[in-house]
Amino acid sequence: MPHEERVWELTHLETSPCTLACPTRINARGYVSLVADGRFKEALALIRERNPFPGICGRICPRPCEAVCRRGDFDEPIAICALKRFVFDLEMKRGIDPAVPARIFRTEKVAVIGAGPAGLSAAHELAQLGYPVTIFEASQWPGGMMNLIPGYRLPQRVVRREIGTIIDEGITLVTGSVFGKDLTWRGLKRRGYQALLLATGAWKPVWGWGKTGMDGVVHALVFLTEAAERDRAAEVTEKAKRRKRSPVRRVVVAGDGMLALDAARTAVRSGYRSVKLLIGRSREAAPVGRSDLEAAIDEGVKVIFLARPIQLKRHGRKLVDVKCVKLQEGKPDAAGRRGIFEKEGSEFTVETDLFIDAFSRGVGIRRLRREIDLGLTPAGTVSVESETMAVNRGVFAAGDLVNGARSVVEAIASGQKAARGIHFYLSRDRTQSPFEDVLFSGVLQKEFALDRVPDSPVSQTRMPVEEARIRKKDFREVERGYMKTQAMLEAQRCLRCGTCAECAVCVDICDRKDIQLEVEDFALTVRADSGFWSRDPGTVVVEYGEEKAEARCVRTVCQVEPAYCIGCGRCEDICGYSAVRVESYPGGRFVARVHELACKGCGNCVAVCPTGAMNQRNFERQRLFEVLSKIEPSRTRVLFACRWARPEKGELPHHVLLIETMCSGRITPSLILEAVIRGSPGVMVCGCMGESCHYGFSRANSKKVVELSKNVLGLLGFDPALVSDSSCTPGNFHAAVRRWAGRKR
Amino acid sequence: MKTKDIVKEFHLDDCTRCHNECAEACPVYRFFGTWHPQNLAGLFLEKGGRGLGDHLLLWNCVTCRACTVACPFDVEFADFIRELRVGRTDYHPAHEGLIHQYQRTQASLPTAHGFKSSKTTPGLKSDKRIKKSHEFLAIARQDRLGWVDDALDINGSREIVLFTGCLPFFEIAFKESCGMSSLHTARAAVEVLNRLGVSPTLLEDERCCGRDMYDIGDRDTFRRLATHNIEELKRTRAKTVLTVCPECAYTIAHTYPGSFGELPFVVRHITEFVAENLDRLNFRMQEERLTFHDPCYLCRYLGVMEAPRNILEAISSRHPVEMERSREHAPCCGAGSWINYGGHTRAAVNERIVEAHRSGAEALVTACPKCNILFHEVNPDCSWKQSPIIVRDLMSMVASCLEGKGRKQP
Repeated sequence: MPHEERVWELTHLETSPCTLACPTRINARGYVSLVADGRFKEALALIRERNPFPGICGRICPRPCEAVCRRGDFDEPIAICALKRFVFDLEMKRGIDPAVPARIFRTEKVAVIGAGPAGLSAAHELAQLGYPVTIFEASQWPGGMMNLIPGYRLPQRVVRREIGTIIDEGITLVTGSVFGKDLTWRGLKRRGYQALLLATGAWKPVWGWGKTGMDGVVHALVFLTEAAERDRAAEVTEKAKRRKRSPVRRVVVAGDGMLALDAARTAVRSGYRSVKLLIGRSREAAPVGRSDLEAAIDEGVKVIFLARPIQLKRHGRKLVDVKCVKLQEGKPDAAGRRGIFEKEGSEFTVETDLFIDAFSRGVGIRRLRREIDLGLTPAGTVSVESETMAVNRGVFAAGDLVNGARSVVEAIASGQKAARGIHFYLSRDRTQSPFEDVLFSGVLQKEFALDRVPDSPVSQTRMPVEEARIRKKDFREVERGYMKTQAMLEAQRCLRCGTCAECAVCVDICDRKDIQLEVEDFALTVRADSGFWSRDPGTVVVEYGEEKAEARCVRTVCQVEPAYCIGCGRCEDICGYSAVRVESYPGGRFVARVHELACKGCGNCVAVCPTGAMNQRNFERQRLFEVLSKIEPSRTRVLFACRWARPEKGELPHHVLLIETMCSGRITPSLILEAVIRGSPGVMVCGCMGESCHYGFSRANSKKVVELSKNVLGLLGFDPALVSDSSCTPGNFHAAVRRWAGRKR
Repeated sequence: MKTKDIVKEFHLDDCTRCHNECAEACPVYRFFGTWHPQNLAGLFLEKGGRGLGDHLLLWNCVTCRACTVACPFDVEFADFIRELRVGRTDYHPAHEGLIHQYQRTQASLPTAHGFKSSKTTPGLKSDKRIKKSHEFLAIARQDRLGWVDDALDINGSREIVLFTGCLPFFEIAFKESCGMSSLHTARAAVEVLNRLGVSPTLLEDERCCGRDMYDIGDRDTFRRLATHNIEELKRTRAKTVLTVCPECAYTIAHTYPGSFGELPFVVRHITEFVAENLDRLNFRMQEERLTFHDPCYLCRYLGVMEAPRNILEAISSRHPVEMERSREHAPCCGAGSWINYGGHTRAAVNERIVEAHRSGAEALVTACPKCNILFHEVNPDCSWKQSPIIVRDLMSMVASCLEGKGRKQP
């Protein structure tokens, strides 16, 4: 067999914008595809490969993926975050315990200071790598900033479950232990710890309007901590649940971001009658989630945009009112940013009983500095070596301590990076980091817009929320989460940008013992002991490379043979991915060309090609017709099944010959006719249900083909009932086949 | 056949290697610029059948016979190529071979007349197994006449049979993808015949005439189809067989006798019959300026060129026009035997449409189902910077122009 270089390197050049935008590089496209196919368990497992907090991120992440979602250019982005929450909630509802004990085989002990998202993620990574890890947490509760996020956005039970899953892997957690007071690095070293990770976060209140020592002025951090305590207590005792009407009636919250918004909505739920929120930015520019902002307004928070307090006035020791000023945005500069200026003469006063300062939070380094020689960035955070997150020899830092006040998902990414750095330091083994800069390929460029969308825009599936009137009374979760049909419907809107979905299904379906498939960092590699050629339709075809023992995958794409192409454009019309275009060709002709990065290998273009110029790798028509030669007349029933309708497990009756294609749209009348001509007593074409077609548009095509075949067979005098058509899901596939094929013979 | 027999049969040594008359007429050469009938003949004379290898012309040839018409010595290149194809299966079928599958299946259906063959066609089982595998089809009968409604009068006169060929199949296969009706031609033919007082016999178990199978070298299937059709036609005791398709007309009239002996009936294309009886028909003139595209088998194989033109004259208020290449010089539409479509197919259709526009015609008229399909299927593309032309079928036009009828074009 000639070994021409026909392989595709599915390297990290070819991926989707959502995956690239995720700080933790979750294969977003992969898990959305899996949800669309109803494979929720696999979707959750795929998320967990990169992110240990799917339930938390699925609720509170700022969603950088959705901001770059290609679908958003057309109508609305895919609700990637909500789908993550969905698959997590499903597991939680079913009571499945996902904790998998890690194999701790190394002897180098690692100490992590701070059980926030950064510290927990780092500990998880290190435990997976085999290190014995102990986390030292200053407070009574692990979770860090995650505990402060109010329960209506992030229920405590989710936080505890996620943290519990990680700790149960084999990590030791010590609470109530303060670094710099109860612990020292020297002391830890004496106890055998070889690496230290500082992940203490950003807990220091930063006062925007002066720490005044007045009664009635509190920082948002303190306010939220107290609220969290009460919430925790309320879960336990009924007495705590019965909240008394607060004597403090009016609240003013000032700040720009989620800290301020959370404080305001918590205030509403804590019994304050009037809650005003001063945001120093415009409605469009405020760094808060749109839906969160609208929810706050629905709950009765009076939001005043472009306003800022300038003075807190008191009577005696008590706060009486806040003098504020209106702001305005200046012209955008070269980078598009607008400066904020105070408007002359626009001062106004708001009377209030409580002022919550939600300006910012900063890092506390005093205690750390006592022992560790820390360098600081201009922002006042701890400076680290960028690749390894090292402070100095054996000491590392991660999370808000390094980045400043940021989101949970960024802290997770930071902790993961530090774990790799620690691993490198302790073992000298550099594992490949997914954070290396990735080259952009044509898939991500605007001109290569995928138009696999319906003619009319379809908006994002609405997240069901509790009515504002009801929900503002307590801390129950506001967003209810998708139901299964909603989740699948939303996932099906995905355009599937990029090529390899890294769903690693090929690894699952490959049942050959002598080859090894690995999907890693957007690349599929195949290790083989000896050369061979796999011919089964539906499996991964492998070629043996000449020099190495490694082989690469041949991707299922369609190809045009220019000699036979007449440029009719039927392929271009039917392709839902704009992957094939009729272009000018030498000799004054117009010939179709397939863009291999966009082609999803469905094969619909092959079916409509009138000349046979179009063919599909791994599913060449010669191969399909060859399989049909195995028919035993009067006995063999032929089943044309699409890859996605058929489940991986389950045996077919012996008298059924399976021809599996990627999509039922590949099937032509001549394939069906061939089966009948060879004496098959029954042919079935099985595809997915219309709305859940993996490629979104093909089911209608295959139904037309079956119709046409029946008409031709009827014309010839055959019973049209010889051919049947069935729409299945993997769940009812085998039952449908058994009903059609009858008993095993 | 042995090499020397082939040379003798097709008068290949009559080829004087003149100055490429055949090449100038050949539509494949016109596009590719390499290899033409003369080359093929020369190569064969030199090296015999084995020396041909993957010759371009072997399967790209559309057997239009333009080469023979142009040849000063009438060498039958097309027949020669047909002979070379016998026993070979390395062609590239259109539509994944659907049309051929249809024809081969028809050939394998149980027949009341039996067939004698010892060799099996590639891809189909031997006779014994056919019987077994089609047990459940023991009473299978083709459903060919569903399109005949009460308005049409058939099976009245025993004298005339209307052979509809593959039209019911084309209707199913091409209606949606090409946006046209093939059966409309058959319907129109019956209407016109009815108007002439003829109630033609339509056969229920008619099968493909076998033209494509003969041309691609599958003589076995051809034999099965032909022997069945001959018996069916004989059984009707008709004197005249009219066909809707020129290929059927030629095949039955000339290819069948060549293999199976004299036939007891006359075979003609429907246009011949209608042209003879024009004075018995009253028309409401149609007003489009028309031009006629001569189908290969009608003009070059059957030599019928005036009949369709007379018909067009009779039904048009404006004088029809001629394209640059017409009558026996009309180029093939490229359909061939439904194999090896490619750049030359596209070029043939596009060039013809340019000619039609240039002639000043508003509509192009064809008298062959394959031409009709090809002009719809291989639609013009932007490289030729032109608009498509309206394509009409001759018999449909005649039927819609009959006096006392609503004018309805398909």
